[in-house]
Amino acid sequence: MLEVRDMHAYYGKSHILQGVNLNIQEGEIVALLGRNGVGRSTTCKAVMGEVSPVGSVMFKGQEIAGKKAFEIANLGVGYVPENRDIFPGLTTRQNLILGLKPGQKDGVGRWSMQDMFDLFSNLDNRADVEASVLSGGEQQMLTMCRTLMGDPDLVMIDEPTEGLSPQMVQRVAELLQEIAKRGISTLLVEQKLSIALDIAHRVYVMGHGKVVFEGTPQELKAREDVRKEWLEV
Amino acid sequence: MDLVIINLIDGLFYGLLLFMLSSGLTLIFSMMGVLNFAHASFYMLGAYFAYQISMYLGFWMGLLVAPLLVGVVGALVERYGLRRVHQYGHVPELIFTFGLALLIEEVVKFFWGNNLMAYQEPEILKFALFSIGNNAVPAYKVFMIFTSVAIFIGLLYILTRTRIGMIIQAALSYPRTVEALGHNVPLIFMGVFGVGTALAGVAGVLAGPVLGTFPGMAFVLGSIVFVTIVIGGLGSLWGALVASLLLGWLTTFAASSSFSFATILESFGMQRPESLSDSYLRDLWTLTLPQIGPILPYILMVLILVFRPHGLFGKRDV
Amino acid sequence: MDALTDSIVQNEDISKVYLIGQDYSFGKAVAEAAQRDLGAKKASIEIVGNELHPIGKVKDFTPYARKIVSSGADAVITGNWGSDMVGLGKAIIEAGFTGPIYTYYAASNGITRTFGEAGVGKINLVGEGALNPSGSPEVDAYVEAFEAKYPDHDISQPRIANVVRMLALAIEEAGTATDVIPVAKALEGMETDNFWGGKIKMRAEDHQAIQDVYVMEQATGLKHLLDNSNFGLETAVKVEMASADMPTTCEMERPE
Repeated sequence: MLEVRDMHAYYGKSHILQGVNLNIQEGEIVALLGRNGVGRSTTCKAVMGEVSPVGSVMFKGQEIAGKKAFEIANLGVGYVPENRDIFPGLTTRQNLILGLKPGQKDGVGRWSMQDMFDLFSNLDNRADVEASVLSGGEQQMLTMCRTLMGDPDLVMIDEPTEGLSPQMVQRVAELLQEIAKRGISTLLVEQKLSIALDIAHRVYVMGHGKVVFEGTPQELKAREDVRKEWLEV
Repeated sequence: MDLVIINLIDGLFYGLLLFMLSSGLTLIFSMMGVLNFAHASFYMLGAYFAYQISMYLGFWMGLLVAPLLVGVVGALVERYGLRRVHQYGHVPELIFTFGLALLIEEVVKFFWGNNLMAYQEPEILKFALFSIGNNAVPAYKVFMIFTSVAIFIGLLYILTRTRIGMIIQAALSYPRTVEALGHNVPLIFMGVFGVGTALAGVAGVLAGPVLGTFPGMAFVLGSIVFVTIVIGGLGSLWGALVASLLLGWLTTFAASSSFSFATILESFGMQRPESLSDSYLRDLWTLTLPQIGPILPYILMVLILVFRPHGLFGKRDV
Repeated sequence: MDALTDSIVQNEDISKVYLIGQDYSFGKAVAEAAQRDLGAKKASIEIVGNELHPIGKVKDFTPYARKIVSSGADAVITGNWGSDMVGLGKAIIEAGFTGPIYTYYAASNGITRTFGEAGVGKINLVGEGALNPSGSPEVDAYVEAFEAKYPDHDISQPRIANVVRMLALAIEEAGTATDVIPVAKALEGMETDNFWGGKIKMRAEDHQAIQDVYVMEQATGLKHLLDNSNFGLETAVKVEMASADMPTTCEMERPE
């Protein structure tokens, strides 16, 4: 589905990504772990075209490095940014409508607005309320649902559980599994090891702008040295 | 009393004219973070284009075509100018729009000269619709008031009731996120810039015959438009409307009042000195409200910035 | 101002006058002179408004115009120029004012054209050098030659014709062009033909040019037009040798 080869990225003069290699297969949940500032979010942004990447980014067999963000989105890449970016002044329903691609009708593709309301009755109850008054957890759900409305084949989700209560974390995990069930590939950026190890099929660990470990959750559990050096605080 | 009513009408006219300029400017600013110094220059272009068109095809074709032309010029400026400068940050953008304002003024002088243009309202509207006391209200001004109200309603409808309006609203706050959802945000930027400048063009077409069509017209109106959007709150269409009307009425009533500062001095029990030239308060003794009317908006802006930095309706800092 | 106020006091229809001008030296000077002259010449004339507005800062003159109309004024006097003149004049006329507006600079440079039909009979201008009717066939030829050479411009400063002629005469009389004191002395008290008609005299005491001054009205259907428009200025009142009777307080020091 996604194949990133030797990807570099820069902010001004600082060399943030120094040759990232990773791949995601169809229907796979892949977790991208690492401490703050090692380049996990930048990896997502570079794939999305928000930061210009140097190197190769193949999506469904097509080179997307150098394309504009909205073009990449329309090819089927979804991105849920870390700061939830709920559109102020718009209702929950309007936020969801904006997730639809230009020309796309609700109900075409894997998800409909009704699916979202069925999955999270909170959104249904507050569909016509200005979305900026929703709780943090509800907002997180809304941003994820908003991206799913566009029927992406791959979603990159940045820190979805940050600052959420344990119940909400559980809801997020359920949604991630539902996403995988519908055949969508997921790149999950996380700090919480437990959720990542529970639901991911494969794991990458990043350090200093590079991938420093690649394997299954079981393999990562067995590698205490990796966890000590790159993950634990 | 008659004078109060007539001032209300005049203030409404002036306020709505300001609104046509400030609505575009505030949308452009909040969406792109660009303080477009050249905004009033597009207003001037509107007046000159309309004058030129009206020479051959009459006023109404000018009203129709000139704003479109201005909008196209605006869109091209965004696409080939601002968008390239954007990557270097906000200061180069400011300098770019500032330079553009100077350039447009020089271009106007080059083609049309320094003189006033005899740009006239259409014959059909050249009559006094009604009079209050001896004061006549020209039909043209009433036409202008209705036109700008119609534009406001149209804008409000597009922004709040249509999908493109929702995208614009969302992109005001989070353009990157909107783009990541698959919307062509660069195109929307260009469109908003084009529509915003076209609105300024409409204002120029309509105001040219009343306020005069001359190379300094952009400069005269330019600064007050910035004051309007700061008072109203950046990015807020309602704020732009309220602030425009507020300033319209403020300047109108100030200019038509005959309040003299000597009244205040006398109320403190001071005597008007025999020889004013010896008095260190001589300026205050002779000052009247109409004399300082045009600086009142700036005083109001400073007060707003001190006590309510977001402006009346804004959600973000200036 | 002497000529202007002369024509106002002669006009039986004018009993209330409104003064408005730009807030700087010339605007203030016009207002002061008008008050002084009108008061001295006809005490029954009432000044119903005396107002200064910021120069080049007023976007919309309508509120000022409203005050003028509401004051019941019969005539307006202003020293405004440029866009302040046009803005003020248009606003006053549009507000329904029907009386004359006395000005110094409300012609040419696009102003006459911009006022157009609305200015006819309302815009009055005080100046030296009238074109309609002109003083002589030479004047007609001079104006036509100028218009032929500079079709986009008007003779907006007729005094220049006299300035150059008088200077030339003075240089001839003094026999030198490089020693300025004899030239100045020759100019002092010089009386000669005014190119625009009548005589012109440089009063010796204060170096003021005493000449015929005209109050002209915007009109159409004239021989000499302005701004390539159908409008021009037609003489309404001619004040012969204006201000010749005004006393002077000038005590200028002259070089030896």
